[in-house]
Amino acid sequence: MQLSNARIIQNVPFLKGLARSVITGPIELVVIQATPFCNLDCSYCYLPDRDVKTTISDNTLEKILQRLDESGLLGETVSFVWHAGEPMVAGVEFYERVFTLISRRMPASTRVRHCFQTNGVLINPAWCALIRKWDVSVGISVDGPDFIHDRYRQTRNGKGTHAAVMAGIATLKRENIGFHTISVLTDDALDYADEMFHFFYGNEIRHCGFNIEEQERVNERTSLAGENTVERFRRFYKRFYELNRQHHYPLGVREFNNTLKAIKGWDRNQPDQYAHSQELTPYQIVSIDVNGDYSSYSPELLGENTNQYGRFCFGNVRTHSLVQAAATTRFKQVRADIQKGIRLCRNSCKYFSVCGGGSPSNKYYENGRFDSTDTIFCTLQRKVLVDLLLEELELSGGNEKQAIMNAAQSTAREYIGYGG
Amino acid sequence: MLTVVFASSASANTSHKADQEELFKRIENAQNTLETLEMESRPRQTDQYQVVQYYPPWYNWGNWNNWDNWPNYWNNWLNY
Repeated sequence: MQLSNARIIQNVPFLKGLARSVITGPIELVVIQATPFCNLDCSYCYLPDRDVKTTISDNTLEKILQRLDESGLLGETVSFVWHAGEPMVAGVEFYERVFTLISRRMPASTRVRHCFQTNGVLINPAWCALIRKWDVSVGISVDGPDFIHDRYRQTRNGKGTHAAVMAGIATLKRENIGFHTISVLTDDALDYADEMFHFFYGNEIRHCGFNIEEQERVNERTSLAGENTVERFRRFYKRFYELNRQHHYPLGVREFNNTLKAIKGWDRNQPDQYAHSQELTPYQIVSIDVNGDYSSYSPELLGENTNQYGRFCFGNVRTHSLVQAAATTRFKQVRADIQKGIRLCRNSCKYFSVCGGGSPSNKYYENGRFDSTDTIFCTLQRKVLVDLLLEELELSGGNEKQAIMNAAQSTAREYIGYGG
Repeated sequence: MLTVVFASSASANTSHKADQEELFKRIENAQNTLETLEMESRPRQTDQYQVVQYYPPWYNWGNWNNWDNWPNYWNNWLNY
């Protein structure tokens, strides 16, 4: 029997540990671009090739699976997120074939979960059958009620897509398939906390998450860069929280739950033990585009032409193993700069131990470099939330039982995903 | 000049530490609130079998003589 290096690394605990300590991981999230094409044309989307109608080839997928397996970086569970383009454009048959391939090729020691982050307009009973068969986690991108959603999420003809998305959601409900939603918060949404809450509540959406409109790639400006955005953002979250409390916490809100967990898990003796983020750790996230080019850290960075590092890509699955890519100058430089950024955060930001060092992509696009600190993302998605929830806990004097129980019961499964 | 730079850096560091300590104290207070809540909402003894579904009654020593759970145990074991 011939043993490959990869198989030896996988099966000898010492070597597996060594590989992980040098290159880090374990790989928890693999973001695969099944196709860059999107059937919508949202105005804040950061992806540059939304018109390109190619689909990832079986050969590239085979190579991806080989590279993941041989890396020795796979853990007990890995999530495949199909995103970075509308995943459902590739069709049901494509995923039936691909999921079968993955189930055959992934090592038995690694449990695989699939997730679609989709705009939902193509969902029909055939998709529901596939989702049920493969136990796929579904994230729907919907920004709230139609007058907010339709402003940004439009077709190429400039028509709103809210009705089509809601039809997709209705199909999921009819088929009794659980899902979560991710909404992009823009400046326009901040004054409508009540309408947003009642949209989710009224449509019986149980799990929702909020992304902020980020200044990234082809979305060169964010509507959230205004002067009083922070205060308005704080008011939005506060009102949303109040409404959820008034209604006995029907909604699991990703941002509230994650912040509560960070507060709950914090330990003075090990203040930085939860200061960790997949985006800041090499190879915990692997992002792979339709051609097999791959990178790590923030998925949004893949393929970006940067001044410091050239094209943000560590290799191609056809030619470079993950371990080989980690030895390149580019990878080492990126890692060193991200580490430096984390150190700067640790030494200057009081929120570090409940954050971990922000997001590399936001640092890069807002500050022009990884070795930097404050971003809009930090302020809106970390500082505002920590302050708000501490305030609520202090003021409520302990009436937050249901919120805490909801947070404790929510599982990572509901929010496997990326983007929105 | 160098003294000024060091003094300024030391001052910033002191200020950062003070801010951090203030936040840490708030988090600890919040944790105390959370702990109280969890004590109150801890499941009753009989509820615990909902958590360790497929273990036999003697697995959880605190409940070893809770015979009410035998049917649950066998059902869950068969279904597992």
